[in-house]
Amino acid sequence: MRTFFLLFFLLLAPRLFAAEGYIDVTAPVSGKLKLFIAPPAVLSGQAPAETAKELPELFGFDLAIAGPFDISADATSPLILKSSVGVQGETATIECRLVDQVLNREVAAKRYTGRVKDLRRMGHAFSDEVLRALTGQKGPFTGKIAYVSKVSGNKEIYIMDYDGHNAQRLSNNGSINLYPDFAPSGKEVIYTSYKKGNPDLYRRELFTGLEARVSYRNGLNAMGVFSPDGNRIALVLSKDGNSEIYVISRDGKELSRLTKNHAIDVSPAWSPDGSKIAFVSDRLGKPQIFVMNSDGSNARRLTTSGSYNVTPRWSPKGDRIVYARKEGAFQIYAINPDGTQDTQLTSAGSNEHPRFSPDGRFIVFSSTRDGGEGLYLMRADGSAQTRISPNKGQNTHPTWSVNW
Amino acid sequence: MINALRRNYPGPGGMFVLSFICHLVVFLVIAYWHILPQFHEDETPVTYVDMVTLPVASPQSGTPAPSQQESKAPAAPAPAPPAPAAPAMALPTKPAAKAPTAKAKAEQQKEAAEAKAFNERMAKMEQQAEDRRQAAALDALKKKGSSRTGMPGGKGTQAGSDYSSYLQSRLKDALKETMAMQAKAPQVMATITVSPDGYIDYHVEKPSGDPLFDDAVRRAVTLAGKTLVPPPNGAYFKRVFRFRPEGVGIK
Repeated sequence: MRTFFLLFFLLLAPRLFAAEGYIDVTAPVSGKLKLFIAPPAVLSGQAPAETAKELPELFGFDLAIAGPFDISADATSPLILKSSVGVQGETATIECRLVDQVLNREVAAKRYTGRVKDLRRMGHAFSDEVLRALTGQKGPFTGKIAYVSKVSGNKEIYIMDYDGHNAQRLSNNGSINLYPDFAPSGKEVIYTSYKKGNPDLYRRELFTGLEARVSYRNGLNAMGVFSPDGNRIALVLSKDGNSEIYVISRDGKELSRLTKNHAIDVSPAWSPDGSKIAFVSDRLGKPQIFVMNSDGSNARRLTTSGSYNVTPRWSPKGDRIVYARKEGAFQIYAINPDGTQDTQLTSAGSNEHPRFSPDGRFIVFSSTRDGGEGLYLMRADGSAQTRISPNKGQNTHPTWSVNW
Repeated sequence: MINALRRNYPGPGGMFVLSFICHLVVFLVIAYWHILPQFHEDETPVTYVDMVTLPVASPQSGTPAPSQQESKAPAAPAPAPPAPAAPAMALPTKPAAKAPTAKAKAEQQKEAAEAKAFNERMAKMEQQAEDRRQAAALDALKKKGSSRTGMPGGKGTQAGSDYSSYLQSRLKDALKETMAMQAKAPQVMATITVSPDGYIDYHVEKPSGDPLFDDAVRRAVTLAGKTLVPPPNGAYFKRVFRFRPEGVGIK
């Protein structure tokens, strides 16, 4: 009898306990979600805003470059973005809604009130919200980009919206100003200026305009970058004759040296957790990217391809490092922190100074592809390379702040 | 234990009966195993290849069989067959030096006319043979598929044996419309139920972790459900679907 049950079990067990199969449903990876941007309406009881005409273009630029969307002229698209704008005196109100027409639900809805001249900022704020609602991560569109421009004749620090609008001059000293970097709060900028003859490091509060000279040791005080917690600054000093990497406190008083050799060590870049610093060194003969602990220990070479690799920057998630490689012209590459997946992202013109957006979705960089040196934006995978700097001429060294 | 076996040993006759019973049980189990799938509400997905490119509205309705009137009507003319090959026999060479007389010319014209008429008759016969062959192939295909859904000749009342494939196709088309992702390889597992009245419902078994892709799947199911044909025979349809951005296949 036992044999009978065993036989019965062996024959039927696979049938009884087998997991039911599933059916695959697939679609092309290149597929994008269609989004229709409706023309802005006028809020009831308020006057129409002249600048409201810019909103569809603004939303279109923000969301097209974000990646997952295809801006469509078809009003029956799965997603529709509606906006209403009204003006009362100097105050503008904008009401935006993103509606999912397939699921018949409102994905995001916000109402912003502010000055008329801040209408674009309100629009970018809603673009940020759209990304947050659909992807779970807010967009970086209300962040600012600081950069060096020679449009006035000298190299001065400027600041603008991420899409190139509202450019404002930050420094105005008729000297050479270089290497801007935002504090993690986005409210301060450090940069190197020759305004007192020596390349010293300055820290400037954006809302008050207050400025302090943080490091003014003999020789170079340059390429300063804030640590992720904002309390320290890694920078390059040449006070002992050779360019070495140091870390100072944000007031410039405490100093610790990280590199010590006869080679040139420059371009420090913090990892997002603050435990490591990527930098450039020619200690093996040619400039290459190295990574060390933030106390200067355990330096190891990162890049093994190319003979001239410079200006590394860590992604906010810490999974990629972008840098520029000289191959005749400079091109931008991205590599994993363990040295794998070294990928070329640009190919046209000469491209330098890559920096990630605070959410890691985009990389801003300078390029000569259209003549002069302009600022460009691309997705982190190198797609959708778009010019953003408003004027021709030399615009370099961009850096992207967190959302204001 | 050996003693116990010896004590219970039924003898050769008993062993024969026991063996017969065991074999019978095994036979019945296997027979039952083969019959079992008929009691399932869904069947193994079958993918049909439409050889004659006839439109199929849905797996339930199938393609209507041609009416009597239609079947009596003459078949549409088949595409013209390739021109018949030139006669294999070589024509005798003619002396080039001599100029042809009027009688010889008349004979040549007559021969040419006969050859032309012969070629036309041959072409006509070949075309008729080709028409007959195509009609026979189509009839055979219709007869073969008349008891299957989604096939030419179906009456529209048969059970939809390929409802899984039908739903897969509708979901695939819908996902193309709603596809959006930010993760590298998102994947959603969802159980989809279609009620006898065609209402689609789904339950996510395993989300992808990419909200964009999860929403794309949600939209795809909703879109597909808008024009869905109910499952055949008034039964519920329930299967697990895996939504992915790449790769095609049924496991």
